[in-house]
Amino acid sequence: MGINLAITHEDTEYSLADLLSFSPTIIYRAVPSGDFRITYISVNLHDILGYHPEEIYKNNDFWHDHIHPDDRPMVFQNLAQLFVENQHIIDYRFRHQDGHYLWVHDQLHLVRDDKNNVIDVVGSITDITQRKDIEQSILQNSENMEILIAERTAELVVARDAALSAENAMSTFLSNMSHELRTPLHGILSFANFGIKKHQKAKPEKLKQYFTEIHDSGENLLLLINNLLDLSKLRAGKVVYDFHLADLGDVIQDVVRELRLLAKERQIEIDYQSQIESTDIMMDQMKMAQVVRNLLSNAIKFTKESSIIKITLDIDSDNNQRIKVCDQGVGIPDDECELIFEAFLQSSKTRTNAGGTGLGLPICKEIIEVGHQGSIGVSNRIEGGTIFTVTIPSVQKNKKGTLNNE
Amino acid sequence: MHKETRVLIVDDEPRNLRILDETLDELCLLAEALDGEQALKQVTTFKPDLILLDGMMPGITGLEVCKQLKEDPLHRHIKIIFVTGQASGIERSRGIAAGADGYMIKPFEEDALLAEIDRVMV
Repeated sequence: MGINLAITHEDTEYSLADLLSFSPTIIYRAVPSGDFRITYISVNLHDILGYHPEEIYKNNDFWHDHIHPDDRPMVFQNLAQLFVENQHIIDYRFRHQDGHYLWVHDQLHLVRDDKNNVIDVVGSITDITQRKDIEQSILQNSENMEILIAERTAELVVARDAALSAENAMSTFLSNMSHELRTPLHGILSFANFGIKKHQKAKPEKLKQYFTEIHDSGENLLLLINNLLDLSKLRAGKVVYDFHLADLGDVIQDVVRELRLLAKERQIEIDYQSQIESTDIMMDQMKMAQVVRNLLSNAIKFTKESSIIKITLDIDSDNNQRIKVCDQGVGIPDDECELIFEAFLQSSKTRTNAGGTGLGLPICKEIIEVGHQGSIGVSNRIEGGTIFTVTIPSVQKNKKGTLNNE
Repeated sequence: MHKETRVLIVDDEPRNLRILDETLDELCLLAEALDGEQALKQVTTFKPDLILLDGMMPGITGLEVCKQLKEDPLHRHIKIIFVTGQASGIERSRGIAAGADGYMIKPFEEDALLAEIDRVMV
């Protein structure tokens, strides 16, 4: 041992005590058997653990009692190692005089005499709380890192699956589009061919019919292309919304007026009722009219002849303005109620002779949900027919994203 | 094909029926159906020799109509040509797997359809 602790009652005691009081390490001496009673402990004990050496000399159980209860078994179980290896090192928590626990690094050494008899235990105690805290935070960080990696991995899996499903959706979209484009093209080419082959023999009325078919097919093709462009612009976020304050009731009334003639051809009456005070909300008026026009002309197309289409405007429980369009058509099978908002998927009940492009409702959905942060959906009426419901928030939460967004 | 050949044309798009009608009217006996359900009814009433069948139809699809008829010993003999806008190879193989005798992709030339009918009806 470098320090001769036998020097105790000489004048060097003070200088040694002074030296030790500057040290971050507590030095002690203990009986090498039984309860390891402490016979000497340096005064810097007070600076580090808050106790006076006398408290320890007086109480044989002092050390035992101040070790953290969870660490106590470990400390005393392994103490026997000291007699095998002549030294023993343990880290444990020790209660400071003010009540909190410090981590200490306790190094015990066995001192033997010339005949190899054990005469003393000399030990040193260092406060390693700071080191333990750093260790703990490193451990915590690495655990956090693992959690973070797991989370990121999960996110990537979701993103990969989304990309795969987007790819599938794209390929379905393209194959549907190819089918939809071929239909009007087939009309144009076929009737043009009939005209070319039969123009010498065919009567003028027959030729007129060919031209009419070519013209109508061409119009269908144009409508399809326009709708396709609309939808792809909307989906790419390239549509500039022209938001301003407007009255939804006025928008509906304008569209109702516009479509009344078309409805009359099928002896259909349009009944519009507003159940709210006229209030302006932020909207793109043209696009909102496009949505109402689409829903209403669908209703006219699919409702029974000589029936009434009801369109209402009210406020729902979440304070959204709500439009309902109720028809008396054949309804939509429940499992198709979401599908009809997908591109090219018309309801099986109404597809025949519908003449639509299968893109009207997907366009409405984009305008309402993405453009106006609203919702659009459809349900069947118990008494027959469907109700299309559109809700628009009375106050748009985030207009910046869509307002004049080039 | 001769004038007594009974041909059922099936398509949910009326204009497509008018095209087939214009092409075939003077060449055979024609009946029309706007969907799969009507087509299956016409099979028992009109008793066609040949069906020109659209693939994508609401309700019972053309593919299902074809399968049903080809699995039925009573109707297996009826020739079926798909006349469809579904242009991909997969769609064609599905049609053939369902037992179709021919496959025409829209748009097609009048003569190409007549040639396909002649090929199938020998």
